[in-house]
Amino acid sequence: MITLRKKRETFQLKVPSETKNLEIIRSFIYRTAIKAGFDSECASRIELSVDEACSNVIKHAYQMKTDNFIEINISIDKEKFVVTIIDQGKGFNPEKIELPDMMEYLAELRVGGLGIYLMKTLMDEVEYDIIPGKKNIVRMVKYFYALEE
Amino acid sequence: MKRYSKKYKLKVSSDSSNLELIRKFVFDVATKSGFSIEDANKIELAVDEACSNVVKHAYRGEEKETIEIDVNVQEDRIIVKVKDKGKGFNPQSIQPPDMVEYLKQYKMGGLGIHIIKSLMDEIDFKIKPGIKNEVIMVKFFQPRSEKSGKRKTTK
Repeated sequence: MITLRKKRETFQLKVPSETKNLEIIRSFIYRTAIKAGFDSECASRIELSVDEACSNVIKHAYQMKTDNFIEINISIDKEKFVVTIIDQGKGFNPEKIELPDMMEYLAELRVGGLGIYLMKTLMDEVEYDIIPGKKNIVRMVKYFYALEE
Repeated sequence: MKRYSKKYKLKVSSDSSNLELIRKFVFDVATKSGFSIEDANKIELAVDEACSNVVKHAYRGEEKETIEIDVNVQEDRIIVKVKDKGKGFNPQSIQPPDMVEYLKQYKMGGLGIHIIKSLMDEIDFKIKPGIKNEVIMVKFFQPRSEKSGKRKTTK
């Protein structure tokens, strides 16, 4: 598969922090990923990963308050697709989040809480920059090289 | 009481291949805000026309510039602003087309603003060439004639 990519292209979406807007975000991510040259499976992975990050923002950073914003920036260059999700909410300590023990997780029949673990599985890189109440950034990267293998 | 206002923003480069992203975004926001699919399609088409004009005329096909679409959903209306930093135009110089003449000449395009006017309830322009051009489009949740009238007309 050969895709002709321009040097660099950026996209930005800003929506109120409401769960009903997750669909708008998902569709924006999926379409942009397809346009960038990913196949539908890969685009769906990025979509799911961003959905998880944004759900976390709505539920935890903003604690379901709907008068805040989520900002999503996409930057595409020749080798990678980078998504940054920015909020002004509560923030968290990424070091405190441990990878779950899946046996225990399933034994307890828990729901949710797998967001970050899921993102790390779906994307090539996930990193955080947390300044609680000011700006929290989740940055996720997916490389195109996997497509050429 | 604080006025109900929900703001959405999409910023993409001025490439006609991004019109699909813009259309889907506008349609999604309109339907989530309570517009019928028919009305959401009208808003989508109006915004598509405005953005096509930006790509073709304001930026003359230059793909590296930016189009910004700001949507503000209020209690009774949706306001969509399409912003660019391109060439601009004089809204007063745009004449309503003579459709007979138009069809005779097999012209394509050029009906953008007239289409927008027929699809939306209000349209306004703020033009500062090269600095910031804005096309502001408004659609009310209910047609205003129905809203102000006490009775709904029955067919």
